[in-house]
Amino acid sequence: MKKLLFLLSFASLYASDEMGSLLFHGNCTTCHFELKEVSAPAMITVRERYKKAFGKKKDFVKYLSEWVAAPNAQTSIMQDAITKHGLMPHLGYEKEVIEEIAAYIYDTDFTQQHPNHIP
Amino acid sequence: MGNLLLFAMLGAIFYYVFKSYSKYEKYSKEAFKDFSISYDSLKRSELGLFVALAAKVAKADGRVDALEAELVSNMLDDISKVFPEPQKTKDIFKQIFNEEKDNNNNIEHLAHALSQATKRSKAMQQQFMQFLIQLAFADGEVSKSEEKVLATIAEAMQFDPQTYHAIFDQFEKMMHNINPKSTLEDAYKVLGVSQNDDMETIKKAYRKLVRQYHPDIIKSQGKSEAYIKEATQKTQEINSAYEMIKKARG
Repeated sequence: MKKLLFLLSFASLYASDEMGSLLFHGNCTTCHFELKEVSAPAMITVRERYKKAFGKKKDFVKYLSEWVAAPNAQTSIMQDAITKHGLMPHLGYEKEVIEEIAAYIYDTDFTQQHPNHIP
Repeated sequence: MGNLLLFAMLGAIFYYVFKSYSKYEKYSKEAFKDFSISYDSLKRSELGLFVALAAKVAKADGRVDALEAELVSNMLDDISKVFPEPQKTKDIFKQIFNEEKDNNNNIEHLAHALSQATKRSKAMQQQFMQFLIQLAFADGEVSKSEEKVLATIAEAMQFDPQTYHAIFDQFEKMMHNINPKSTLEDAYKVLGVSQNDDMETIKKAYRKLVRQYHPDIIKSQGKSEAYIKEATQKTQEINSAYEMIKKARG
């Protein structure tokens, strides 16, 4: 029984990770490429900066999602990127969707092979 | 003891009958048991073409939203299960989905290829079309760009226009009829949760229900249209209940 519970919780964890992956790759990578900087900072850079500022997943998710929900030059931790590319547009995603995506970014090492990674 | 033996024998017979039937289904483990899984082979397969088209529809209005992702994720699970290595298959399908979503130049080509590959089964084509139309309706209404992508696909597949419009109208009606008078209390009931549960619990319940009731493109083979209709309706109901609760909680 315990094993079953463990498996179940593992399955649901995996499922939510997958939603994050679909949402991230479905929406963000149009501008934020995983590894290279094109019209917006590369995802590895964003992840690195946020991880440095907010080490805990909970904080990382909170601050990243709040910022993306209402981008603001004053509260940005990536001033250099704003100087270079301008402020990220307000995209009007649901809070929950951005949180899901933020959690996925926190968990994903984009330099390693991961589902959806296009070599 | 005699009974047990009888049951075992009956079981064996049923298993044999079931197995020999399932061999003739189009998308089954049996049918795909010798399929060699690679990016190229999957991309060329009917299901690969279908995934690519689903990506176009999902992204047509510029974003992939939560229910769309939920439906796509379930669909990928369903179709990957018939292949010998489900997880590997699913990862490749996901990659195809992501590559195809931003590129709108090859819709006609893909739709034509899918129509060629499935020409022996009008029923299958209809199922694919139904899923794509449902996907377009997932966020509540079909945008102009979504409608255009769907129409392009239907035309390139030489899909019967009357059937297409019938499916479309059916969804429109369904969306319209989803419990317009339902209360927040009903919404909690639909998800089987209580007003005191936190959002995390409610989200889990929601996901579980969507997974349970979504129209399964593999299982629905050979089933009546009523099955897909019911599954779709239930999915939309679950979704609108969840939306309602989310809205109420801010």
